[in-house]
Amino acid sequence: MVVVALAIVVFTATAAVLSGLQNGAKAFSGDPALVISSEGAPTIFSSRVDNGMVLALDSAMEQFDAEFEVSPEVFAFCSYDDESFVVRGVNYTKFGLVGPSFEEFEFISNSSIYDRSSAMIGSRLMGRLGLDVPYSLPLVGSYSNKVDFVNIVGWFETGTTMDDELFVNLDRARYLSGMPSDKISIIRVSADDPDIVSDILSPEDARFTIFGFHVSKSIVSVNEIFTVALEVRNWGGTSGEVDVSFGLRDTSGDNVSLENITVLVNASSSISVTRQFSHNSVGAQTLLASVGGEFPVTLETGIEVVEPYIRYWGPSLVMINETFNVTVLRYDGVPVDGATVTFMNGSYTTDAEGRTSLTADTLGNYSVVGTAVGMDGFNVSIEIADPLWFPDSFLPVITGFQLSSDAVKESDSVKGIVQLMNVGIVGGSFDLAVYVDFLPGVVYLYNVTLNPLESIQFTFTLEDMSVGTHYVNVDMFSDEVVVEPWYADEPDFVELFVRYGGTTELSDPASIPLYQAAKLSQGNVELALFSIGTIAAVLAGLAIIAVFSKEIHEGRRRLGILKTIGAGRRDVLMLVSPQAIVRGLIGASAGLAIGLAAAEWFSRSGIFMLFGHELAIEWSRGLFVLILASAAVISLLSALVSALIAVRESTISAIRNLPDEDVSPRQDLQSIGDD
Amino acid sequence: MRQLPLLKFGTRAKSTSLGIALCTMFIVASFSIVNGLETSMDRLSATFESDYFLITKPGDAGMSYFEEDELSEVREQLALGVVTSVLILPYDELVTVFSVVDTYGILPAPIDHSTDVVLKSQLGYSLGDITLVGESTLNLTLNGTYSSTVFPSDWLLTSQNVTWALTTQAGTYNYAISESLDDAELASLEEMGFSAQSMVGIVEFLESGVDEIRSDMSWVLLPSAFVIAVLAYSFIGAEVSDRRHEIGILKTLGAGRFRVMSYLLGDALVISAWGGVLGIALGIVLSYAISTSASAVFTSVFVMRVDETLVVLAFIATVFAGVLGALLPAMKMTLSSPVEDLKEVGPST
Repeated sequence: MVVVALAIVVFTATAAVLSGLQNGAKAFSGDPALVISSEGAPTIFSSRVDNGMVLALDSAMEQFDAEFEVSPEVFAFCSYDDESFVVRGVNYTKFGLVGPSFEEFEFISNSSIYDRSSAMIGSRLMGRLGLDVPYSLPLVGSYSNKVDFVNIVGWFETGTTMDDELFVNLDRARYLSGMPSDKISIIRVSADDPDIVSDILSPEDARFTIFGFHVSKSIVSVNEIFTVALEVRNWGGTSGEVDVSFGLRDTSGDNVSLENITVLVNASSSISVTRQFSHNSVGAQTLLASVGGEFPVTLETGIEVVEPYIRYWGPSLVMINETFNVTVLRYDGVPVDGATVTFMNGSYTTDAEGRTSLTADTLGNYSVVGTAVGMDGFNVSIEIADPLWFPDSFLPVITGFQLSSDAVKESDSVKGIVQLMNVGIVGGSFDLAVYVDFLPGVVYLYNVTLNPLESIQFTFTLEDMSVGTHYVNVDMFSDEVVVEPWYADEPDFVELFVRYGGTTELSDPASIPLYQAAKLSQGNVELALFSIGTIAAVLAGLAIIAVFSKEIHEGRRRLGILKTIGAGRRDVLMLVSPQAIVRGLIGASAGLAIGLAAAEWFSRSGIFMLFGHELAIEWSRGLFVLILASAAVISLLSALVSALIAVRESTISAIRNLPDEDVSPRQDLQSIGDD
Repeated sequence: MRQLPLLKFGTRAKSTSLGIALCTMFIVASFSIVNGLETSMDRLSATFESDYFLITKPGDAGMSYFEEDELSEVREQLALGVVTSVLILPYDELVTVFSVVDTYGILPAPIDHSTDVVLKSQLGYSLGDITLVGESTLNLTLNGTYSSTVFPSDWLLTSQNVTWALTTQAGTYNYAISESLDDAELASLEEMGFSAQSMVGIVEFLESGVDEIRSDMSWVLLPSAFVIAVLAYSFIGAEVSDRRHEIGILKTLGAGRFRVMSYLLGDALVISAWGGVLGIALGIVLSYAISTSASAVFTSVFVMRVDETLVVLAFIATVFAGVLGALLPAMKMTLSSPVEDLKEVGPST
């Protein structure tokens, strides 16, 4: 019975550890939360998700009236003092809402965890590295030569595999992993009710959204035709029809319907809808596209209807005898070919790029007049100056400023173009101040160098602006940009819904990081582990059969005597089997209990490691039932096989202590049946 | 004295050997999986091969300071530097400031900076006067920019003198960068209390991961050895049960305890060794068979690799476990009284 128990202990512990190995890759997700990674990535840590997805999912909460939180994370990998570990970049605020709860958390530093170089360490990693907090830890790049170091300002314990990791802020992890600033590795999603998220992400019925709403022009002239395009996506499990409406809303809030159409969209697919419209009222308009259904979505974008005109783009100050270019643009920014530009009694015609060259040969202020057929012209004044008028100093002057776009999507960047001139005859550099909004606002300083009397265009980029209208001011110039939200207007977001729908845990293709990296597939990993588990079961059975057989062999003479006095093979079977089964099951029960305890101890002791994480055994009901059933089957089969071996002993050979007769098992069974 | 008739009960011996072979096969196949994984990882690591090492000296609070002479025993040509966190005014936030002296041109791209001004990379600070507050307070000028792929863009670069003044650790460094270090140099560094990290972390991460899996899989020795021991125990137990009378006669004729023990353990040794050899052969065949068949089924599959050292280890483990398992019944038989043994009815021949 002891051997039976020991065999089952070994089997149970082995099976549990193999289960842990099989689930080892999920350690990268940390806890059973829904984790979203990019579809094309072969591994979870080569996943690249656009950071805008986080904003999109945030927006989805309001849209679907659902309670869930999202957290962006970036993976990097490092080793120190012969210990390898995962460096997880997190946004602490968002992670606090989504990630596993901190069972213990201690902050031991004057620094903030939000400082660029601050880090938090998991309790188990702290133990493995044998360090005390605070600690300055050198780090290296994951995939390319890089140096870094962080100040570990505290430690945490979550009771998950994250306790084997180092937490840093997102930018630190991006630097270490070489990930672009607008990308993240994964998005962690949590919800009070996973079914809600599941239903949102992967409904069985047809469910529609629209995205990719695009208008061919943001400014059009009266009655000019413009094209509107959008994509209709059915992310549900069945095909269906949906109404798509187009309309216009003017500044007074009055709506004008343009068209209503019904489209049929197959399950899990998209179709493009393209329509052409025109409008005859001058003024700013809002173009609307909406889709009905259970989750109605309305997208809007601005369009301005104007009387057609042309405009001037060029310097307002030039030096005498300097040849300079001016460009004639249409109201919508399109260069005008064949426009007439009049300057200092000269008449010039623009080329295909809307450009013409002018020469200023007389000092003073002069008009530049532009005309084009069918459009209102322009009349601007420029100053022709003498370099000798300018002081013997460095005098930078801002002569123009505009933003490259008047509307961008959230997390997109916008470029600012500043026309600069040094009106002094000494070169130098200065800090160009760019103000984004006021009270409260942000000021960006750019160091710009100008040569004597040099005129340049300086370009800067604004990133990570929040949703809404922002006013950008440079010196006396101002421009504005509207930052539009991502939600429902981003194809990738809709793909995200469809792609990852329905999973409440890490999807299989994404849950096999290092195996995949090593050219392994989930299939052959599971096959290998299942094979090892099966062999372990066979071995446990073999051990039990061996020891039962020995016991039976030692009692063979008594069995022989029983047969002599009339016991048939069935009687022997009935005599031996219950004893073997009872002993087997008792031994198996004890072995199972000890084995499960041993497996749990293995899991907690940190003996087993897998790519920087302690091996965690997930005690699911399925695993428990599998081990329980296997242990029962092993002990029962072993007992029955042992009983059959006893039956095979012939009466004479048993009494005389001779070797077994050469009787086949089939003959044994036949004999038992005959009895 | 003639030998005991070994393998007298052929069926039992064959069954036991086959059982032991199954266990050994299990060990070999498990080791093959790890070796195959290691090969794949090596191939993957080669993609990220790094020629540079970051050398630091772990102290109670992390990176501690050391003198150049300490490292020159191992490697003379190094890039040396100091990195520290300080408060920057007027911005009133923590910033990392570093210096580096690359006399020998070790770094992939030169970044040596010797003047006492401060350079920024991507930080949004304005050029002009700044104050850095570390162990001491320095009024400095932020006077330009630097670019580097090796150091973070949110660090400030300055001269060695400035970092020494900020840390009040003149003449010392807290990091060094070296080109490729061999195993002997790495061992020397470790012995001297230094830590050397490959500057491409994934290399060590993967190697360490394979070591962890190797360590995990070595536990398969435990169940296999246990079953081998039980098989040997049962086999020798049945043997002595069958041949107790014969052994009693041998004892009566003068066979000492050592000789009886050696007969029985010899039996166990032969059975285990035979099973071990068979198991290794089956394990090798099985490993390659699985690799080949899996290649046909799965698009990406690793090739199991049989390693000679581990095969020897598997064989030794098999034989050791077999002999250990046989020890209990063999000792029992050795210590029993010849008279009691002779009372046992021997088999009629």
